[in-house]
Amino acid sequence: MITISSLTKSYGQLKAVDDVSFQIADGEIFGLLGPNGAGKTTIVKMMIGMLRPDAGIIEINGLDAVSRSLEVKADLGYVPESGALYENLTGREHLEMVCHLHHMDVGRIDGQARRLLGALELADAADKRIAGYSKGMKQRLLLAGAIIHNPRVLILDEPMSGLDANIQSVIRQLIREFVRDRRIVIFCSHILEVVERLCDRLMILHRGRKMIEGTPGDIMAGTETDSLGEAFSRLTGAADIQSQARGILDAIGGPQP
Amino acid sequence: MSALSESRIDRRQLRALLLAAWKTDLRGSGNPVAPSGDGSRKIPPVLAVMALKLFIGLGLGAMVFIVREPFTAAFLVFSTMTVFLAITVLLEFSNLILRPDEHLIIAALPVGSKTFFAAKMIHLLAYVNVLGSLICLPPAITSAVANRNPLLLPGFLIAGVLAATAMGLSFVLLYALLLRIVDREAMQRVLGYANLALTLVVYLGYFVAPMMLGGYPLSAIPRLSPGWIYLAPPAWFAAVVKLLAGEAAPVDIGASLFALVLIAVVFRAAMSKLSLEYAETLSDTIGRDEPLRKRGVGGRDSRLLSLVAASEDRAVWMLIRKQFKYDNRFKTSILSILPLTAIYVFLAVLEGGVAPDPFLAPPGDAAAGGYFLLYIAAALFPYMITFGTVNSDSYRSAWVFYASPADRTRIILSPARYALVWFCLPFTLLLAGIFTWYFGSALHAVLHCLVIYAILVIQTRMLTLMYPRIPFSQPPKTGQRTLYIFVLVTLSIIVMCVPMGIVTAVGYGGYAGYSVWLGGAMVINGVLSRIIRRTIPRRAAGMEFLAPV
Repeated sequence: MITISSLTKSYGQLKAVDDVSFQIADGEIFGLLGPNGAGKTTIVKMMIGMLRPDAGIIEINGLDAVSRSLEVKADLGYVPESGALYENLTGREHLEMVCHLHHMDVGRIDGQARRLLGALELADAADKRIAGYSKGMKQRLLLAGAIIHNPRVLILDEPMSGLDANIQSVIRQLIREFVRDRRIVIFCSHILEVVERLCDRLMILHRGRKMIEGTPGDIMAGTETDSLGEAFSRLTGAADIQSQARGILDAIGGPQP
Repeated sequence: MSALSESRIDRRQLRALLLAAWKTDLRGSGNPVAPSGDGSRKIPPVLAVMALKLFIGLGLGAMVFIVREPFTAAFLVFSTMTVFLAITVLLEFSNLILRPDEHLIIAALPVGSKTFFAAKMIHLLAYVNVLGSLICLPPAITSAVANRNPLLLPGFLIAGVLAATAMGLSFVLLYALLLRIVDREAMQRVLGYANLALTLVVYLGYFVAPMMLGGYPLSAIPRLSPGWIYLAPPAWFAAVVKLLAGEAAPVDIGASLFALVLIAVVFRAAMSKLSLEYAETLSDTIGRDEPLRKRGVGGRDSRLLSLVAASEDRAVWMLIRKQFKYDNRFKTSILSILPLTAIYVFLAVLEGGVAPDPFLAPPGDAAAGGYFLLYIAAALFPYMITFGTVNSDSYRSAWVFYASPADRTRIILSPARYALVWFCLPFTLLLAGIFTWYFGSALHAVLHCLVIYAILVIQTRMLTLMYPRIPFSQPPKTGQRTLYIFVLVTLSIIVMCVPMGIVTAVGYGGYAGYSVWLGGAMVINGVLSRIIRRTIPRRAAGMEFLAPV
């Protein structure tokens, strides 16, 4: 169970997260949605311990994520959006480093890493420097690093980015299997169709504030819309999409003859 | 058609590239991984480096006041200035000359090779010329006042700019030639070792020049008039000073012309060699995957390490080893200390005479002071490793240390431990060998080295307290390394040489006195360790990762 209460974080004058509260039950896939700059990544960074909240409580599996962050992180996996990896390591060495940071038994690391790299189709690249990996390979390696310690909570920030359709299907299925034994997945994405199909519940943020929370069906009903996309646009105050596109073209001198 | 467009340099693009470079240099170091409240604007390192160069200039100004004679003074000033600027370019080369990510940024834009290179060249030359002018300004004023010739002021400054330009262009040409002649496969390795060789040459120059003049008080330095002096490039620029001050002899006019021809030749050669393709070559080189020895994880190294190091240490140490192998910036920072250390050891052995055994009555032999260089060399390792492991092009990847259940305090302490185990310990063993030769007693040498090692531990702990950072978590900034070198050398001298100076002066006073020394060092270590345990976890807990994830 994850409980977030009155979470607040500011960068100078800007309130990145403003009094946000929500709960995620065990066995749930929870979607975190919002336009760029809505505060999704700031919430995730606070859950992981990269940022300290100005106010509010983050409780993960009954532990306070600020005061007992090491215990929380021991049972947490994270795939960042940027794909930032130490590119001078090989894929295998990255996993080795992650295993050390998770205090895993040295004797277990080799077999675990080999099996996981194989399962994610990275066996051939395991001993090559990450600098030479494609975006999809890096994304798979990040996923391997996030789950190698068998965590109870998995936070995925745009995990499908750069992956081909087959691997995307594998990841989707992996997420469903992952929550079957009452684990939690937090899924941040801009691909609303995937979120709608995958997430049990979701929350939409805008300018640091929670706009709505519920199942995709609840949200569509609550906003009187037919799709999650429409609900998202309505809640986040998007301008008329057609006129916005026309405005962009006009700004560069209109359509070419 | 303007000269710029004739040479296919796009004026607007050039301005844009230069503005981007200068803004990057001059903006304060907002830390993406920083303690809470550390995101405030700070003085950019490049401004601190300028202040440092002005400080050096003030020292040279005082020297010029004693030496007076314009040609001799200018020769000494330009020699010193060139060495300091060369060290700066070497330390900052990955910001000033070789930026691996530059091609990735520029390649997709319609920027021509000549424009790109012109921007790089102007950026470098502006940097060295500003620093060179700051070094030359105080000697220029002093020389004009001391010799009552106002023309010496512009003479010094113009000649200084010419000397700095020649030095900067020579470096660019050297790297460009290297990129042309060396196989791409080997470039990654060669660049590191080329810097090592250049560092050795620069440091040797720094030590050899004073040795040539050594033994004389400044006022007794003879007027540099022999013909052979004109073989040294600083003399050509010193001749320019005389020319501009209206005191030139025919030989000075010839030497001045030689200086101008040198600049023209090097500029033309560098312009024809360096281009955007140069950046592409570099980018390709950095990204190139060298064949790696296949090995399993959790192998022999890891199992051995697990006996002596915590999990966090193992993770960080592996990262340090790999960064050393492939990250040219990091490799250069570490390798640059080795020639200095080698020179210190060499000079100490050459000049130190018989070092006094601190267990016996201290002889108070001034000649024995030479081996103090050994202490300074030892003291450089902790600073170099801990500072060297802070800044990295891969700083965004430091998220992994935040997202894992690793003890952040241990992560912060790991580079210092790495320095103590893998650099300080072997060097202290080397010192034990050298001191055994000096003292004639292996026991005394080993005991003395125990105190040295204890001081090294004190140093690393002080450094950790002063500058706690997650390794490889800060973006590199122009000027930062030069500034750090100055700070670390100063601190090394203070922390290491003060106690060693006392030991040399009064000795240990036998084994009982030695016990007090070693016990004292251990007590200080204990106190520092306690302070670290109390303060670093709090500061570590306050660190935030502000870079994008």
